[in-house]
Amino acid sequence: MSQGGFELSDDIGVSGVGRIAGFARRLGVGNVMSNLLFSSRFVTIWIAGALLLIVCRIIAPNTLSSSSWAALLPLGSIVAVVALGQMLVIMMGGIDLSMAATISLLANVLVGVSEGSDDRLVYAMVIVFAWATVIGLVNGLLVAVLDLNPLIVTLSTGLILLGVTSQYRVGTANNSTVPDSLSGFVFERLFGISKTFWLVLLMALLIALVLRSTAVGRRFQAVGANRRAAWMAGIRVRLYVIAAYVLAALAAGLAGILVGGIVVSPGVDPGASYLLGPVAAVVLGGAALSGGLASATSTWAAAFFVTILNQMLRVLGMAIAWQNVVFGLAIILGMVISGDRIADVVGRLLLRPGIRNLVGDAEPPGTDDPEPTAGRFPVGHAAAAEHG
Amino acid sequence: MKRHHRSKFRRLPVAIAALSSFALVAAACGDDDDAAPADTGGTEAPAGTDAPDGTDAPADTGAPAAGENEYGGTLAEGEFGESYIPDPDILAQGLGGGGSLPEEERARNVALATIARASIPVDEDLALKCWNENECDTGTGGELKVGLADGFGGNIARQIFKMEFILQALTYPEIGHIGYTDANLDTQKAISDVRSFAAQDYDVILSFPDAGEALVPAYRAATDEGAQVVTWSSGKVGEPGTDYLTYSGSDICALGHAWGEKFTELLPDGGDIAIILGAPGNPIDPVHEQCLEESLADNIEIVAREGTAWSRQAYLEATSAILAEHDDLDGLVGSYGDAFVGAMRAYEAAGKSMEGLITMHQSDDNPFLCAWKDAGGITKSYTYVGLLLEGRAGMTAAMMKIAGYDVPPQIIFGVQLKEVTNDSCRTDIPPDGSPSSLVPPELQSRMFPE
Repeated sequence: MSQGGFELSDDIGVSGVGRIAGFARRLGVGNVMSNLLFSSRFVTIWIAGALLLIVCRIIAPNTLSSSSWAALLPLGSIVAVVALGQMLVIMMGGIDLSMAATISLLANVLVGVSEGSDDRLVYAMVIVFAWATVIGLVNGLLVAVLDLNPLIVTLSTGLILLGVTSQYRVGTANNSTVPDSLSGFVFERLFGISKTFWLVLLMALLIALVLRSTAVGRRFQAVGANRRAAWMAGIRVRLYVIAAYVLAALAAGLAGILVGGIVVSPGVDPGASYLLGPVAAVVLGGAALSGGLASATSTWAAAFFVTILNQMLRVLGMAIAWQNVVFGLAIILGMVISGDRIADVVGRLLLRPGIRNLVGDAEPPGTDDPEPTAGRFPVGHAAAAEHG
Repeated sequence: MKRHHRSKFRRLPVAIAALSSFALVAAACGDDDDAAPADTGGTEAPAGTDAPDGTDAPADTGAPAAGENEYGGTLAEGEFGESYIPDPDILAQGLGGGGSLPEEERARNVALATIARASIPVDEDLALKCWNENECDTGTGGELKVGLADGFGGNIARQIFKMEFILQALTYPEIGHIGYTDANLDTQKAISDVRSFAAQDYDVILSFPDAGEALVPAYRAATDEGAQVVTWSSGKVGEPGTDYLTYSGSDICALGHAWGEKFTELLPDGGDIAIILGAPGNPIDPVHEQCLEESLADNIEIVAREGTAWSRQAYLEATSAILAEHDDLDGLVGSYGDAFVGAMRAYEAAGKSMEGLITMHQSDDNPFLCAWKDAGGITKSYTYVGLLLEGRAGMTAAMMKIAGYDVPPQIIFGVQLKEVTNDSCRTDIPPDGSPSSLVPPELQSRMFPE
């Protein structure tokens, strides 16, 4: 990794961006530019979200009506929970395609164990999270220890879980509703807004805080950014990879509980809606699919972007086939203008001669000004974490 | 509609019915009916019933035509080993009444035989054993082997379908072995299951063609090997009658018409209604919608259509979008009753009352019926029946074919809407059970124990 920051290559990938960041940070005007560079990958979704709201206001204003929000907030929050779990796995350079099936199984486990009784709700939730931990451990061990391809592994475990759900579902037919307190909770409001929304917002902020401000969070990002470097720095890489899958499964467990609360009696595959939407949200939220870089708050925002976009298309009365086409195109467009690409564009802008001269004249960088995190993992990732 | 005419049969005096039946039995006793050749099926029917669609039945007069029993059956008691006078209670439970019996004469005979046979008591312990173990010998020493090659067995409805098939099979002493396979939506396995049954010399193969047309070659091959292959679904695959024996299903358009007529009746001053559709591309919704529109009054407008994936959550999302745009609906169509619970949750989330809303559904799923009751019964809701006896009809059709009857290529059931009431929610069956299933409540509870 270049500490000096002057040797700029044409290949401005993640490491290139990191070098630019290092360069910018060492300049007197560097902080502003550095912030601009590293926030660019995450800020896009917020701008896109604002534009979407404006578009909704113009062409489908009822998308933003109070009755629409009443459903959007809890539904979008569930997408956000799953997306946040998926984000942690993607930060490790992996992907968890078993989350939808995990939701399906655990929503049914909740129903089966609780037997519809409020008295058994807490016990059922403990069981749900216990099973989530087991599922996450299996995925994590297969990926981290046996070094199997995460896409294939989680696809396979997802299929297994769907089969188990089908069988389990038959046995729970006589106890097939969630407790009333749960079905009431998901639509209850605090300060006029869904409690589910507040719960998930809190979760997103907590994840952002942990990733940004704790040693564990920094190490987590370090492992995602560069496993070998993290291992050489003494970080227990496998442990963090396994933890990512366990946390994702726990998020799926929470989503299963909330989905159960919303639909009251989950069918055999209530998680089916959460296969690709959350992955799209993570990507739109600016995460690097190569690992390391991600923002919990931007992922949370992207989950609502996806949900509101869907609702707008429905309110427009578009046929569901066209809804899928437009939704897919929007995701592709989002990917084109977010994440690494937008960071590259901003990075190239910063490298234009006029700007280089401007910042270069302001304060030449010193090679004896070590970046606090330099040497542990790429500067770009550390700075990104500050925006997490 | 003709099916409405048929419902008048139910009003016939018992005495007339008994006399008609007696006359038919007496007439039939002169023939060796069990030995009737296959290609003469239906020709034994008395004069006056030769119109293929049964339109000469005396529906308008409220009395059966000569040679018909009070339910429009044209075969004599005992012909092809069947009775054609069903228990009225079972008819009402399984089909919602005689108005849902098939129009076509031979199909009607099969349906009547199906329902009549459903009242024959069987060994429920053995049925449960067959259901649990997916294979069993019936102990009768019968030579026939029958199998259900289900395309998917992972939900409650299909598990009940499976038991309906088993119960119906156990009423035939000729059947010595019952088999069952579940392809779990795997097309290759579904094909393999059908071919496997054929290779094992199964005499009757029932199948729900979840895999669609891909299964037709397997059906054709099994038929060529001598099996009687019957499908049941909401639409036929291949060419029933040629590729395989027959298929049983509901009259999709008639249901759309029935919905439209009911809306027209209940909204004399007009109003706005919305439709929650199923998965994109499914062949049922366009027919439902077209036929609904055909029978709607001009002052009733369909203001929104939202597609779903036939799940509760999808119904919730769709209804939320509909409510965002149209918060004062007069009517809502949600064909899948179970998923409609999601629509009710959307109203709850939006803080809107459903009071006075008119809703129409295809299936009478218990979760919806109980949710309707729990919500105070504030909507005026109508359902059809789950038509879980389609599998039974397939079983009986195959057995009648083996006995020599000229089974029609389609057994299409008609439509009779039922209004949802507080009594509709059944507490004597599992919450996910089906009120219109002919599986006894206590057996349903044993299938899905606490």
